[in-house]
Amino acid sequence: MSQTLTVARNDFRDVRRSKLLWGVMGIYVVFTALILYAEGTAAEPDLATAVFNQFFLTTLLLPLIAIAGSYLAIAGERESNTVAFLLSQPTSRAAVVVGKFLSRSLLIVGSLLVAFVVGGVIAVVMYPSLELGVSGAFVVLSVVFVGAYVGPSIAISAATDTRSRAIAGAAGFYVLTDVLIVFGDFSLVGALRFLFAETLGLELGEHFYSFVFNLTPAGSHLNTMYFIFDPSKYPQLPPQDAGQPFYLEPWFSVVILLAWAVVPLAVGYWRFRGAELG
Amino acid sequence: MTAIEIEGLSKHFGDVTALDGLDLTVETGEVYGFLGPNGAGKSTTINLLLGFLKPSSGSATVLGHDVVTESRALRQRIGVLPEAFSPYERLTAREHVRYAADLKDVPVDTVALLDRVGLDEAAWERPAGGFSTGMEQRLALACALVGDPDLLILDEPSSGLDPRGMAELRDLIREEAADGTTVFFSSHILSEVEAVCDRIGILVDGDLVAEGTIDELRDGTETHSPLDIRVDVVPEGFDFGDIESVASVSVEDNTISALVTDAGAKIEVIRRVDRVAEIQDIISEPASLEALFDRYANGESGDGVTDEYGAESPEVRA
Repeated sequence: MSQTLTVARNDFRDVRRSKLLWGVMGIYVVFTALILYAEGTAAEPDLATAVFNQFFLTTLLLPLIAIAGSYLAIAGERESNTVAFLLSQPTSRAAVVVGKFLSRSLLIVGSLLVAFVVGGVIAVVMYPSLELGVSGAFVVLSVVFVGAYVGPSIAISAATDTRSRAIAGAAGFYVLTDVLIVFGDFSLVGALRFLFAETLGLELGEHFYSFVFNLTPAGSHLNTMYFIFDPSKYPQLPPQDAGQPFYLEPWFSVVILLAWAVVPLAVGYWRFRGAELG
Repeated sequence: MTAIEIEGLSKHFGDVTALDGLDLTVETGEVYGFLGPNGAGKSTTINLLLGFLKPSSGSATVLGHDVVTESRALRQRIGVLPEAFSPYERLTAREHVRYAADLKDVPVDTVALLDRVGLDEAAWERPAGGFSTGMEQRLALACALVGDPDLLILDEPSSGLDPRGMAELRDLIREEAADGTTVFFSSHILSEVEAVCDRIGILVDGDLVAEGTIDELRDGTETHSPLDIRVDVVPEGFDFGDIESVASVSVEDNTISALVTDAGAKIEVIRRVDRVAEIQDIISEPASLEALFDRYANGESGDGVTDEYGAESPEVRA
């Protein structure tokens, strides 16, 4: 355990000195500020509406930042050969994978919190209320969402030995699990619907397609919006089926998000454990 | 007690054989020079010992720990200067040493270590990204010395060091050895290992072609000394085939080169040449380890084992 923390501490020390990474993470801070400022200039600014917009932006933008901050964590060490120093010590490869996950998660969550502090200041100045029930829940759900992308990014990094393979894997993961999920008309779920329902004539039911959507980190993140927002007040949010099965409930989406943080990491560790270096 | 015990260790990468049934023993307390040309399989061997690579066949132990099943316990007790050491660009020298100590979970005096390896004090608090190769090697050495290991494995430690750095490295290896530390030291430069090593093994194409103390290797080479005879015109049809001690003969331009396994045979060779041609110069070199190693390093591998090298080797000095 102490070795995991040693790796995490030193990795954090190394990566927080990267100016490039701070630049990438600054983007999220800027977008947060812009959204809050834009809604704040309305006649009757409503923080919940701003958070609603921010939620969508987070679904698209936060994975990119999580990936940018994590994809080189292990593959980069193999490409530059710093891994020779790391594994010449009695370091366990599990400590490397978990330690990197901790430090990169901390890094992304840290920049997220900077964004929220900036957003909080804007909210105090421009909005009638901080609406802590809404904004607090959003912060917690965003942190869970960070894990669901840092985990797979570290896993991809652990399973690849060069920068180019790591970036290809991480970009592919982002497109498949985020871009092709969020935009309803042009999504993986839409493609499945076309394949099963219209081409093969299979009647699988709406719950099946909703479940496929909910299985992806971006889909389950969007599904957790029902914790905060009432569909009757937000027409962009489709109404929920009263008798829907548990696997479409928002709480189950949190379970799925946590699984995305952990399961790929285990697979990545398994690949890294068997990898030959040098 | 043996520090390193390698038995029939092989490593294949696809069709390529990097290491072919290597047997090697390093005794506790000795300084062992692992010599060979680039690409001979030295780093592959070391990477197998460190658990970076998995053996295709064979086995090895380091300080009694199996390299496959007890890799972490093994690495706890050794210090490593890895091949092509690369530091974290944004961590300082002191942070590297501290990192190594924390991973080993041992106390460390970073100042004393960095001072000992001769890293300039001005560099201690600077990020290692701006270090020269020589500074990187010194830092790597400091990291290897963390925790006063029982065995030091140094993979090409002198690469990037200037002559002064190399001399300091030799002193440091001697100090460690005097302290009872076993040192396993790979290099492609003979003079480096010659100066500090108790024993030397020469690895060529994944195979140990010669092994012994410096003196043993020198004795071995005395049965294999070169003789060059320059003549005005190289005659046709001379033959030393009936002289048993002539291992090989070649002709280049106006020079006849023979390799004799008994120095006493040189005079007979000269007499034969003198009968058929006018001798202009004779160069008779003493047998040397350099000559031996040069032959191996130039890629002309002998097939023999420890004491047979050269005896049936077909190659010839140019």
